[in-house]
Amino acid sequence: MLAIALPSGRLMEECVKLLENSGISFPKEILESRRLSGIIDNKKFLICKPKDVPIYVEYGTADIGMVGKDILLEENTQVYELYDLGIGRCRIVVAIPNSLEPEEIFFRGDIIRVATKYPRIARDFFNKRGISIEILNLSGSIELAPVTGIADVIVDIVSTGRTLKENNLRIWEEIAYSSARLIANRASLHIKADEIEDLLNKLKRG
Amino acid sequence: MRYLTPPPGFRDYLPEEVEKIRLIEKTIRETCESFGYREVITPTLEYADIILLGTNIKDDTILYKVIDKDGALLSIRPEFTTSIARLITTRFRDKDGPFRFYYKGKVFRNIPFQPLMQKEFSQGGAELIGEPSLSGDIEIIALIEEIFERLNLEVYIEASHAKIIPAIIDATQAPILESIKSGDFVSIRSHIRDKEILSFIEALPFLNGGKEVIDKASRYINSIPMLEEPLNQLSELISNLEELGYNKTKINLGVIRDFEYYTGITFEGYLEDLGLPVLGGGRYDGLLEKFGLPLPATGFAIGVERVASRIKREESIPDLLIGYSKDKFKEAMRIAKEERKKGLKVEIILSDREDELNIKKGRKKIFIC
Repeated sequence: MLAIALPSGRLMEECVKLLENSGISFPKEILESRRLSGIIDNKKFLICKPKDVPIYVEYGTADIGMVGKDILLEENTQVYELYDLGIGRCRIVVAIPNSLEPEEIFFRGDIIRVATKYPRIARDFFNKRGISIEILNLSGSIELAPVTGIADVIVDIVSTGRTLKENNLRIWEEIAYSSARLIANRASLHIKADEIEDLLNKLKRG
Repeated sequence: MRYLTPPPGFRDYLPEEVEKIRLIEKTIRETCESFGYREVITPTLEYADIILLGTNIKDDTILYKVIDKDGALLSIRPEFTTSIARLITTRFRDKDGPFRFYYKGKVFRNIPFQPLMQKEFSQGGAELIGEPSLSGDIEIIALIEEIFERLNLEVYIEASHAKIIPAIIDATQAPILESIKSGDFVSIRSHIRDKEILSFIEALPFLNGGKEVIDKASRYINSIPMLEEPLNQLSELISNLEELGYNKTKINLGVIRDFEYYTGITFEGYLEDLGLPVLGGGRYDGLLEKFGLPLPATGFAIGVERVASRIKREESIPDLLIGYSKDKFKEAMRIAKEERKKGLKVEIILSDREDELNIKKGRKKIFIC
């Protein structure tokens, strides 16, 4: 049996649609109740917080998983990234207040405070640029931070850009492109190679 | 004082776990010795720059470091191979190889804490130094299979070759090194134009099995010429192991170990229902040269606690339990002494009533009052 971890929330619906288009059934009880796991066609589906998908896969509790590249970049887990599922597309960006020029923020000599839920990605990006920063680790509504003055800039994901716009922010730099990926546990890829290859081929065709 | 529990990544082991750990260490020791390997003990602390040079560790924050009295930076060992290579280059410089050594002991890695990834854990392994031919690689894998056979555990060994990834990089000249290291096949795809090479890379995780894998992979030699040598070696390795009756080893070209460190056959071992490898190793012909003695080498290390977690074994309990009332202590000790001489494990317990003995574990129980 192949165990598959899917992210809860918005991305789950897209993942389920993708699976169904590829002819892979998904357990009804998950969609119709609050159950977080279900078995169908010799496949076990686990619904986890997006951030936890790579953890379930790394430990082999799930053989494969579907998860955004943003989370893979942030979590730094040891998993194989097999395929770009092409859903959940977004960009990870540095955004700054409309009222300020980049020079006013980045070259004024102070340490810049960055609000984000992606501390690793943010630190890595600014380290490479040689810009000294302080990370403010928030869990959501990141756009609020520069407006209230608790941080100077933000690092966050953007899909349409509407939230940025409505909170008087604009993109300064794009750090990375993100979309949902099919990931696999290293050991499962050896022990359950045939089942995983079969599923991958179905997804590629679908 | 902060907490009474050990720091994250460190833990206590209770007797039943220790018994399993010791069983594995004993099996490694006996099997290695039956192959003519002898044990060496190397220091827990080494110069940090020797460790960094020997291990190819890029992130030196995973080393626990201390400053010696003379100001030198020392590191607690994160593995054994570097220490053994250093030992050979200093103590066996003028002797003829090959050298067969095994070891066991604790290693320490300052990695972010997560379950199953202890910062302190035990490794047991062996190094065969000075044997350049494939016979050395075959011997090492045979030794591993024998260890797991004796432990009665089903092991899956996945063999690959360190020259496969460099062959791809040579053929494509694309900046895919980092993506390959992190197992990111998606970003590799975006860098490669050549369809044949791309289809080889995509097939990599699934190129696993017996000799038929070599046939499948061989058709890519036209586009990736440097594949020929590693594929030939793997083919010979598998044929030899099969003929010798070692059938736990398969080819898996998707196993990517540090190809800047390893130079030939590499392998990892897995147990059922454990998502992380329990052993790893391969040929590292470049290491001893860094210490000034160019000798070929191959070896393996087993993660002892990870294997122990899969051992099913009855807890060892006393052969004889003697309960005694207050004034019968000496009598109990005398009987115990006699029985211990016969080789029994005897525990004595002060106890007011006979039924108190019943809740204790023991094969045989007597009560003196």
